[in-house]
Amino acid sequence: MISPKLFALLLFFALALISFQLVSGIWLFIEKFGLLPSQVYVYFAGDEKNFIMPKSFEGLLETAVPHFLAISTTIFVYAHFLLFTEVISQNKKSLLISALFITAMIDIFSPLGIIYEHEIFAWTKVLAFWSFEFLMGILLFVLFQAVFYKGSKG
Amino acid sequence: MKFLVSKNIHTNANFRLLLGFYALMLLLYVIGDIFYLSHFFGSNTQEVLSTLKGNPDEFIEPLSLLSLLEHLHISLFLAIFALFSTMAVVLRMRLEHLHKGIIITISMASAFLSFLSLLGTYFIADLFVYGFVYLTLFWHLIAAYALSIVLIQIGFKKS
Repeated sequence: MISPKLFALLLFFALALISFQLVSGIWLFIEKFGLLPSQVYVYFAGDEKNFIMPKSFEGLLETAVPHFLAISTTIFVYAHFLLFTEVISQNKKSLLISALFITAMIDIFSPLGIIYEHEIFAWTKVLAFWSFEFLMGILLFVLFQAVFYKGSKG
Repeated sequence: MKFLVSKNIHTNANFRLLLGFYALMLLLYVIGDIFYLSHFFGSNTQEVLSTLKGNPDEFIEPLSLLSLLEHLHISLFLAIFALFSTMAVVLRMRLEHLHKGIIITISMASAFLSFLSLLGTYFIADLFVYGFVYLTLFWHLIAAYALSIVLIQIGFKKS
């Protein structure tokens, strides 16, 4: 029999660590690409005047493939705890889970559009990234709330 | 095709086999990570400082912020899942509640603080390097201890 208090303790630390991971992801995004869609576009599509080489398809795959595994695992592991809470309604849980996976996929796929010089995908990348981070923030907030105020069925 | 749906998996020999090999490979990860980190940053506080801040006497360039953030982002992810899954198994072991609570708190808190100390060393003061080195070593040791308990309990449990 698992003690609910020990389970809550473990979940609390796991949430604290993944929050840190979220912050490191945002920081890395800003440091690497910048804040503006134009900066994101230049990073991937390159800029001859400033001697910035465009990223290759293979280069993008090197980043995209591990992210498919890492992000899907993270969402799955953390979002499955939602099923054991009553902090938000079933519909909101469905919406949150779907939105997390969809924004993550758009975020990972967008650079492919950018390297073929479609600038609109730079906007898509920025919007999808910030939406994903915001939604992860909501997920973590709901789970923290469940740990501290509502408890969980598990 | 038929799956056997049972809650009584503790007595299942194959489940113990699965958990045993999983714990063994996680233990290899924990030990291997120490070697990787000592290779990447150095094996003592002075070497870690030289890697992070550079050392003109030895012609070592300081680590770029981008490299540091990439290391942090990947290592943190691996640490989270290694610790989270280890502690999820520890929760199910035959140990005192207090013992489990101490293992979970100390390992996860020291992992969290070790990553904060890494940033502290880079941005704030060299003093944080001690936190980074010793807390990193500490959470790896606690994780190895927890995984050893798992392996011992699985190994000696009667089927």
